[in-house]
Amino acid sequence: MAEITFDNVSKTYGDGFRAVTDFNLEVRDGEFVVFVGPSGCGKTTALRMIAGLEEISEGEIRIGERVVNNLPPGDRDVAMVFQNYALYPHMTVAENIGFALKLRKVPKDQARKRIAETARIIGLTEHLDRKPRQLSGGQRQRVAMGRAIVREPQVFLMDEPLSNLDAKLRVQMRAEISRIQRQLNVTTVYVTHDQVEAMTMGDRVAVLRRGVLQQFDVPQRLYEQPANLFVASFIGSPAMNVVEATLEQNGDGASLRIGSSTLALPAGVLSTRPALAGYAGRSLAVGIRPEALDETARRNGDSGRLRGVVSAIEALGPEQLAYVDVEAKPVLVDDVLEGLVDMEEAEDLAEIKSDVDGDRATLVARLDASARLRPDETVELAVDLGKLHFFDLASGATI
Amino acid sequence: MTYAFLLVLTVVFLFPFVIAIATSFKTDPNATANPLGLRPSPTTTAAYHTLFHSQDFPTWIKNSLIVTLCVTFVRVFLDSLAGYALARLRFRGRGAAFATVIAVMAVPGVVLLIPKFLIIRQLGIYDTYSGMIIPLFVDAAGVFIMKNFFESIPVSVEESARIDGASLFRIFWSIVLPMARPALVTLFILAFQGSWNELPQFIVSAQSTSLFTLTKGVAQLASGELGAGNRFPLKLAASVLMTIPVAVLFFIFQRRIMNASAGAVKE
Repeated sequence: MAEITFDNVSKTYGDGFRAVTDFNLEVRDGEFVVFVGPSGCGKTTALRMIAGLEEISEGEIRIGERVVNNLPPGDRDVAMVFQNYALYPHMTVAENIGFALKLRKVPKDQARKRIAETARIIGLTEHLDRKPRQLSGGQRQRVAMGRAIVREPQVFLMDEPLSNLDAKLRVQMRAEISRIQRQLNVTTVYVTHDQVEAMTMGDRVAVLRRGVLQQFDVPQRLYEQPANLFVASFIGSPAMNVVEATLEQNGDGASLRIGSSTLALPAGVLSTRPALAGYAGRSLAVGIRPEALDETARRNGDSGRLRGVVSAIEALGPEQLAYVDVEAKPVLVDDVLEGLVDMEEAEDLAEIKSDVDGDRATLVARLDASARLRPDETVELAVDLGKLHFFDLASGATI
Repeated sequence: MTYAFLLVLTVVFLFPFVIAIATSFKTDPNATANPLGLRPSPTTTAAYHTLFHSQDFPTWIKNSLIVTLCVTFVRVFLDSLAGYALARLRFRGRGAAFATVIAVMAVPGVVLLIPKFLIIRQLGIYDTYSGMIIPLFVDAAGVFIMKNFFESIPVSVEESARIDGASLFRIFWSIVLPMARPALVTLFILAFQGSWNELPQFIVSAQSTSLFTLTKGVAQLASGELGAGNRFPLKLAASVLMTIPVAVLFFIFQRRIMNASAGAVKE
């Protein structure tokens, strides 16, 4: 059994920087868990603490029943796949895969069998005598996987293993890794900054921000019931549209005022979110997924209308994305921006905010390929009111 | 234009060596009469015969080989260990240790000759192989080269080995050193060349003629008690023979100075 338990784990570096704060999480035996978040969120640090490559400042990490805080990496029975492969360049593929077995003094004939079996699983049987420099990027990544597999460890740790591959190969290797993990049923922690990778691969996904765990759940629930504005903005591609709105109470019902538009909320929205009533007369953040917007002609039932001008259309084949400027105040709190932009690449949050017109927001709508919108055309978008998300503007928490 | 410039440079650098080879095959009168002539007249190997039969030349070669091989192998090993420690291990005083290495590089070797002599005498190893060899085991420049090279090796490769269960020394020996082959080859050549051509250290550490190395012997030929008369062919024959091992070593190893970490990580 190899559950991994983080018990109030924190990591503080010598200069006082706190990379991980009070991290609590349990990975079940055989589960594939993904740590996801923007650059610098602490996901790799958390992974490296499991591996023993980073000291744990506070708290406890357990693998199975064993507390591993003070165990050296080699004694933790974990195997790790690195972002840059980290192969031994002077060894052949077979030697790379078999190095850990050699260290453990596994008898040669047994080691040979395990290397051959591993090579079969990763599809590199023909390349066992080659050196890493003679392999393509995808093949090198497979060797790195093979090196982990052959150990038959309790835990696989993967640190952005696909980020150096091109887009097509990444999709292919994504499926490959998932297949191998299912086949071997080894507890796996996988780190990525790519939320698509997280959503498609993880049994459960832990979203981190600034060293703090934001939400840990199955991918669909992260998407449908985000715990806060950050998770809502980070998960989903294209990202959720977030605009400021005022909640108005009218007798038993309620409506949302977004810019000059008013959207009457169905009764179900209020009854499933009792706390929403407390926001009557106040501003809040409203999240609208791109697929909750549609052409008015296609939408029946509970829907409101938002009027705007199409600024761009992106045709993606089976669907198209329409960028529509509407009269609404965009929500530009850090929770949203950090979910949308790589902060290491962004010059300054203030600069991003100043670039945006405060009274107009660009909403992204995911439309059917047959939709007939044109740039610069004024359109009305139907909003699926049953799929709105509501957040407190100050705390970012989901209402 | 560039090629013309390079050609001139090549001639300037090669000319003294060509003269040395040519003169070593001359007779004494021919060499004295025409010291810069490139064609011996007559051509003779007398100087080489004299060297091997009437001088202590074989002893000098033997001593040079003993000293050079010991120094080269031990220096490459110790410089690598020290370089790795300074590059990767976190310990108190690491910065000060490295600063000391740099400081040592800044001190001219000649300043240290007398202190070296005194220490060698004090240790009771004066006029022994130990006295000649041990002070050459570690050099600051080698430590500096290796430290810088080890720092260029991706840490993740070593971390991967740690997770595989390798001990620190195993990582150093089985992973890092093979990846450091270009730097090791460079260091090997520098150490070989340095100790083969070393002279001041042997002057202050030994005096017996039985411990003469090639450098000391050739220096004596040129200016010491054996240097009576011009005897250019003899002196230059010794010089030519002394040059051969280093040249051969360089030609053997130059092809091995290549990137040994290709394929380790995604660049």
